[in-house]
Amino acid sequence: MVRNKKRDRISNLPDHLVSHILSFLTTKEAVATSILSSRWKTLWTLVPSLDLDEDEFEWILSDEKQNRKKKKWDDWDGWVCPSGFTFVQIVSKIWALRNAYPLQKFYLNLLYDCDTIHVDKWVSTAITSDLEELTLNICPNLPFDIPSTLFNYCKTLVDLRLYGNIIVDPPPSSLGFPSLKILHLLGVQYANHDSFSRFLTCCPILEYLCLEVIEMGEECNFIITLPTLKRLDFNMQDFLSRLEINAPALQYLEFVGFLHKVVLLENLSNLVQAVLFVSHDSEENDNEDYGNRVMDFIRALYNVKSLHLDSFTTECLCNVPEFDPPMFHNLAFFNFGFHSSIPHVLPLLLQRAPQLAVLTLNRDKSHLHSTSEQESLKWNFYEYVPKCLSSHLTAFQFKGFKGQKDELELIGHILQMARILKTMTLSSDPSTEKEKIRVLKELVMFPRHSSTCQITFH
Amino acid sequence: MFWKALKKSLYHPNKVKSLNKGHLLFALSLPCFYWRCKVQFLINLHCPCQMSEGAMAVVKPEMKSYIWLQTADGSIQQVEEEVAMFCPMICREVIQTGTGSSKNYAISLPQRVNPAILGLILDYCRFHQVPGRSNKERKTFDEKFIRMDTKRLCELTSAADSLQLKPLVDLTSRALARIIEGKTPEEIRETFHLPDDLTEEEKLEPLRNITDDPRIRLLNRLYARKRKELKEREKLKNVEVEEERVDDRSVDDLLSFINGGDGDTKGTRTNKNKKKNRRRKDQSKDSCLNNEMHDLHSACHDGEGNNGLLASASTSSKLQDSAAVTFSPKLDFDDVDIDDDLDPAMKEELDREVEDFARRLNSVWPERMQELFQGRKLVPINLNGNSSMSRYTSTSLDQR
Repeated sequence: MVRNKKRDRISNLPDHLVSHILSFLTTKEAVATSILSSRWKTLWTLVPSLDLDEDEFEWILSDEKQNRKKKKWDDWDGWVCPSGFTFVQIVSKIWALRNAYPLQKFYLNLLYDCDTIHVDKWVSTAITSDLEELTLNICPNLPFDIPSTLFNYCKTLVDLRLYGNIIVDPPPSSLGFPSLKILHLLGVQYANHDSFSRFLTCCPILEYLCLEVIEMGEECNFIITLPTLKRLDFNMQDFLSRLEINAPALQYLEFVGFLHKVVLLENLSNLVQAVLFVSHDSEENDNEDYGNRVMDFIRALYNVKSLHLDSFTTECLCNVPEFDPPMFHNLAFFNFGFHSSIPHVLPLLLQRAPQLAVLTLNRDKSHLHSTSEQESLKWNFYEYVPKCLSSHLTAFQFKGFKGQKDELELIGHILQMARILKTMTLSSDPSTEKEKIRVLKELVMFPRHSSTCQITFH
Repeated sequence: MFWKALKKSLYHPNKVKSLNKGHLLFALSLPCFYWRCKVQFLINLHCPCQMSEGAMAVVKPEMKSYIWLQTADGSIQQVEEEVAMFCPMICREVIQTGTGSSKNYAISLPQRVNPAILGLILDYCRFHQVPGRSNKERKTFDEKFIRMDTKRLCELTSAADSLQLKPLVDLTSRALARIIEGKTPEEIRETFHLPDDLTEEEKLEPLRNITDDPRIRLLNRLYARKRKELKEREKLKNVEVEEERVDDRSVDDLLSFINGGDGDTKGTRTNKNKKKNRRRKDQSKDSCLNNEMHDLHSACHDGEGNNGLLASASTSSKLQDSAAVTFSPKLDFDDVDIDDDLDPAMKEELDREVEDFARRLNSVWPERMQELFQGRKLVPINLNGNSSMSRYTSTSLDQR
């Protein structure tokens, strides 16, 4: 018996192992293995996941389009692979060859040439009792209606993400999603006023909700009452919608967008981390009012351990006439953004955060307003030394350090008062060598209360 | 208290006074295999009246205990107990059958595990069974561990799978996936020494052959024109439709004269695209009949796909047949949608045209038809394929 020195080892593996290996590749690569050898011809069909991503393919305009006199480069259809096939053809073929083997994960990313008929066909075929993850990122020519079978036959669905021009309409008799833990609804439209709340009642064990509300044209209420919710990302891009959150188990909250309508937050006692990126419509003149609303929002976050406020948010806070923040008893990490000069609300916030351990100042370079350089802050540090500085602060970080007068003053104060400060990191904008040296000289001159403090500068 | 006592006794079997029978029996109900085996061992050690037959033979109150493993080639090795117990399969053998405690009663490992690979697996187990390691440490170890040639990696995957050691299976599978990723088919074949045993046609079959047959192209053009006319006539009146299987039969026709023959390899891309784009332009103009058009459009696509699939059926491989069989239901499914919109009268017209065409083509190649009759169970030449197709229709609907 002649022993062939080069033996094919991988094909000796049983089918389930090879399909396990192929499951770590993208669908495109898995399908490509079908031409390796006769044994591999159908192995890719055993992989229980499909990710159809038009970004994975190279697209060129089909010949006819190229020959047209007027070339519209933002053309949405007529794109083909160099071999001449459209995405729809490729996907239809993949479905056909796959022989309806159970599917656990289905991702679809299709922005160009997106036809609701095809998407409906694919999604309907994907909705089986084995489906665990479904992600649709589509931009169809017409608003796409989610098939109602999704609401009735997906008992095992764990992760559902819908992005794009999709209409959500849960039927009244929906059996729901008893296993759904992650839900993303970005930019979707709701068929009725109560579609959203009906959807939420279908998800008894939801843990992560990510919502983006686009302009609806009418007033809508988003009432989120979920006892199991642990994480909420909310992006409010609509001026007319209201938001109510009642989630006792919530640990992480991120809010981006407009606060034109009041946002009601109740029962957030378990909140660990909050991130606020409030947008401000600069044409609005009710700065005070808006500032008050932001203040109310922050008041509800008093129990939080980590707080991140971006530059717009702090600007709004500066407009509040009587700035009176609550006591942040548990606050240990504070990320404070600003744009041109350090807002005056910072010292007061520091006073109300007795356990603060890490303070990060973040200069937002993208800010378009150019306010004049402020004079040195009139802080009465000598009367009120914030408790956190003297007893808890261990790390201080400044991103976008410019060496301005008020900044140096602040750093000086901190160095003087922080007893257990361990690290101070300053990352600066590219400035001239001269500037750098001047700043460094000044820094070195500051008296330090903490003996173990290390200053890093880059 | 109990846990401390248990732990103490496990590592110092001689000082077991603080444990009593009750504790041990409770511990036996623990969900963790590992602890259960340990406790079983203890019981055997200190309560001789409760010992099982097999284990009675060799219990020595040593600090370290060993498990004996035998590989397929007959060689036997002894391994520290904690290390071997990390493999679910070995653990189960020890508990259920009591083997492994002596050289004579060694656990025989599955065939896929040879001594060299067993050594590697035991190294893996030895590292990971230690509870105190951080995630970073484990990750670093794993990354170093899988640096080996692909042949060995495949053997390791196979062996780990037979021992049901899932973390190692995942690790090796990912490593193999990374090797496959980003390579061209030739490179992959070279890496794994795969035989290049597909014909050129089979390789190109999935998508390329759709456009190779000029007869298909002609038929498609005919279809497109017909459908356009039907649509236009539809605009003017409101029609009710009954379920019709005309389009099914036309598919049959396609099946009948696509012999996977000498496909014309002329570049047909431009023609096809022009046709497609024209259709699309029409669609965009006609917004009120959008849905319908998309239905037809998709069916056309599927029709082309079907043709392509069967076009290369010169090798009558099982795959071709099975794919064809499963593909038709999907096509029928679409057709059911479309049929709802077409007027029966027009369908008759369409049907007649198709029959004409079929007859014309059939007359040209009678011998080829003979070949087909022998090879296929699915495709009748005449247009009475209703029975078979209806069966598929109903199954597809049931699947829904």
